[in-house]
Amino acid sequence: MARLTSSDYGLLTAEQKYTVANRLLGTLYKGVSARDFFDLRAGTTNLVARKTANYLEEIQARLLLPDTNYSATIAAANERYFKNFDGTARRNSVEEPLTYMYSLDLSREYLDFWMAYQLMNTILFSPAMELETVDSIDMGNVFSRLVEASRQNKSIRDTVYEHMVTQENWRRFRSPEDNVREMMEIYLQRFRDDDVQKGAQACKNWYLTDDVEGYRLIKTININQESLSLLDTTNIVNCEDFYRALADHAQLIPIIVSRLVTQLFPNHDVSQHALIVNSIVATRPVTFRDIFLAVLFSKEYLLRNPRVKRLEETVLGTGSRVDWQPHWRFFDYLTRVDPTAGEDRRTLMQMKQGTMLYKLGRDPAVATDTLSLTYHQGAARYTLFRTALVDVTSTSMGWHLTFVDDPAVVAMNDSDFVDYVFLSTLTRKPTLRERDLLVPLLNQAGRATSRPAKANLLFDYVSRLPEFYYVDQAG
Amino acid sequence: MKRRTFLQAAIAGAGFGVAKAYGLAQVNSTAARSRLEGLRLDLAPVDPHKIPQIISIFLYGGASELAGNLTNIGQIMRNSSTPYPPNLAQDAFNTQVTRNQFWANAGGTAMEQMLRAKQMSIYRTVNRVLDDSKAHGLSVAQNASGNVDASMPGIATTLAYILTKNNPFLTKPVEQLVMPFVSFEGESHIFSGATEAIPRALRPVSLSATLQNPYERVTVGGLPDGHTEDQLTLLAKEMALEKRLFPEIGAAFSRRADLAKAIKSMVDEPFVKEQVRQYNIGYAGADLIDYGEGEFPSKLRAAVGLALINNDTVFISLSGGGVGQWDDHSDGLVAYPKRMNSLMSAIRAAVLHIERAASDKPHARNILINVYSEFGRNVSLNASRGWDHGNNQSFMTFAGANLRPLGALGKIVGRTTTTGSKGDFRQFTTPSPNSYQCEPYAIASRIYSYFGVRNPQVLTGVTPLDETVASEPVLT
Repeated sequence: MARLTSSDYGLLTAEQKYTVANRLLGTLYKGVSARDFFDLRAGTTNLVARKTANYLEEIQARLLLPDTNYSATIAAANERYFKNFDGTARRNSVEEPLTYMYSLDLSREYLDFWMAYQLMNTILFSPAMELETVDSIDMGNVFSRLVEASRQNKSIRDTVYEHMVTQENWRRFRSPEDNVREMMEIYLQRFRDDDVQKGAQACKNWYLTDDVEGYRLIKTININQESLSLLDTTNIVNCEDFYRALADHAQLIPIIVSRLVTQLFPNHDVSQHALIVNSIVATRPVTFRDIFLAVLFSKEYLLRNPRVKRLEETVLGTGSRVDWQPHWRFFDYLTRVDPTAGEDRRTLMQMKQGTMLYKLGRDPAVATDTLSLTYHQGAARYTLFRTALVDVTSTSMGWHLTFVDDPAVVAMNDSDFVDYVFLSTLTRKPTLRERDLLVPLLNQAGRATSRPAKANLLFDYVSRLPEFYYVDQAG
Repeated sequence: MKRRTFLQAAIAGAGFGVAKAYGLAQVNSTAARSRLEGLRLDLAPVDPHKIPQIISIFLYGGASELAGNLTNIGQIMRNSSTPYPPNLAQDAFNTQVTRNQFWANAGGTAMEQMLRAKQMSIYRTVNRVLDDSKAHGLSVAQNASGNVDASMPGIATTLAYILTKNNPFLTKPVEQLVMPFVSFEGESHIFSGATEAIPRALRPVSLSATLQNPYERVTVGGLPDGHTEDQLTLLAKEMALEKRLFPEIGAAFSRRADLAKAIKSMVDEPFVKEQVRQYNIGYAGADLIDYGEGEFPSKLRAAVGLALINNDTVFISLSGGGVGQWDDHSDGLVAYPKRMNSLMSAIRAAVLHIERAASDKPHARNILINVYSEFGRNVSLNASRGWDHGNNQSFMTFAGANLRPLGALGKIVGRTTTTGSKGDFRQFTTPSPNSYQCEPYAIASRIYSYFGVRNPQVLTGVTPLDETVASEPVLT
């Protein structure tokens, strides 16, 4: 799959470069602000990029380098976010991934976290928190294992094998028939009922206890003794043999690639999908990092992948560009399994984007039913854009006035200011029609002398635009 | 070990996601449109006093049939690879098998009450012959499409199409219907395949279980003032049309204000609860309408409340749980009866609610509730004390007396026998020789027939579920 090279990137206009950079960073729940990307001292009419044509290469380099400040950042995040109201420490495996990712800078550790988070939101490794057999400890265990596997550069095959044999996997798929069926369907897209019977025989001594006994995975001595032929191999006797044969199967890599391509390119048709899958498989990826980096820095992903954004991308990606910060319970509320959260406590679950929740992972296509979209829009309006924080030391949620108090921004006329806010949120400038209507509105209703009020008006408008919630195609 | 509280039906509606998760091709809208429009439907007018209002409850995961069918329990217990508790046997130890072979603590008591009151019928032999797939994704998609060909549009989409061809509302065109299709489970396959041929008014609206109104726009920081609001709204609409990508987002946003008004003026949770309270006046004990607590009971109460107040609502989809909720591979003997009991208690409340409302709302008897799943389950208890995937399932249908032939309610249809030998991991129920049986797509066929389609088999491939077939003996 063709990479978007520095030469390709260098051919884009400054505005296009900015859009593409934020497409990449937004996927990673980060962003680069207009102030950082452009030199705005001369206004916005002729945008000049500070960032070079090598900017995407720089991002990739950062994703492969260790974070020398990692431990201190995690400690600070624990101090800020993982406290009870009485100040005592608390743990919450469900909110930890997003919280730590928000706190960390791009780095190798960041990429390990991000990849684990993506994988856990797919059918491949979802802990399935919605099931009564699963709890947050399982979620934490799956996350830690995936992060560690990535850190150790473990192969896809070994990572899959080590997951399949765990209690966490069995709490999701809970009997021999269930587990072997689902493993074959998920990792090999193999739907053969007779193979299920044989696989169940190989795993017949494994079972999950009930609630009273704590949903533990038990392996009895009633081990299968008969040699079985399935998964295109012979001599499968016990459950470990079955899982090993599955993990080593020739179809594993293509199917995993296919599943990840479906997640990352949710609107590509069957033939486009096949082309991408084949091109990635041809590179013989060994680790999940090989697959993700091949996709994220590709032309196809960055230039030709229209898709509805996930909430994380909408809020955290945009938040990075408008000097937004969450309050200390934001990630707790966001990841709660609560369909009735209040106006300023939007949850991923409300918008059918629950994290690490669903038995079969998140739907590759972001929910666009009326209710889910309304909640998604509500998250933009009431968490991202709601409050301008006057005090730079504030720990409340909102966007800091540094967004509008930068000297280059202060010097802007209204037209340039509209450009600036549009670039920061939509990564584009306004159309003539938008500019003609919005500029006069900036000076009405007492907004004339207040940049925060002007910004709020523009934020309100942006939140009404469908394009704020999707990624367009082309640069 | 402390376990997390059982999560009841909070995560619903992954039907479409299930199909996609299992790698099934997305329904191609163009193909779907051409397939519906190329079919020759034989349409009869629908009596405007009998416009169906279908509440469709899908039990994702493949619900065991045992709550409604313990006719074979003796054989099942004898052959099961893991022992069943003795109180399920129809012998001296029996505490659970009701007179009509329901599982008492798994909703069976409620089912007996509804059967006796002729508010329910159960079909015990919905059996997949055309495709005995035991895969969730494909089976869900097939059931949601009402066709073994899962690429057909969802049942609700097909119904919307039927409405455009056979509008039963004499006083208004379909474009003016308010919330005709409602989902309490977000997007699901049952609504898939909608094309430009389906008017926007017939696209589904999602509501929450508590009929929250997130559609209402809150003014934040004084923004926007009235005049500005109008200008921003118009400008945003213009830009949405100009951009064209993901038109469903713009469409959803443009419906926001109307939905906010409709929900505010029509129904919210306090209103529905008050409605229930009014209908409970003069009743006590077991005759009270009591949906119970939890996500599913709230959704069902909201669904019935909406159907009663809004004749335009012809189809409401809700799940009896999230994906996998009924996929009882483990600990089934504990979890399943509790869940089924809650489901049936809520449905009994719904049936009482509908019946009481019929005194002042004649259309109440047009409200019908269907309950089914993607497949049934193995009846041999596995080592984790659950049941693996099977085939034969029970279909349960409630209320809707106006829509059905005489005598369609109060029936038990179908007889089953078992397959498998003692100790086998796999044992299933299957329709007895000479027993009535039908494919699950016959349910969709029946729904379409209520809306005037005389030849629904062109849409489903099978004839409608037969509501005139004789009942098995019902003990009262």
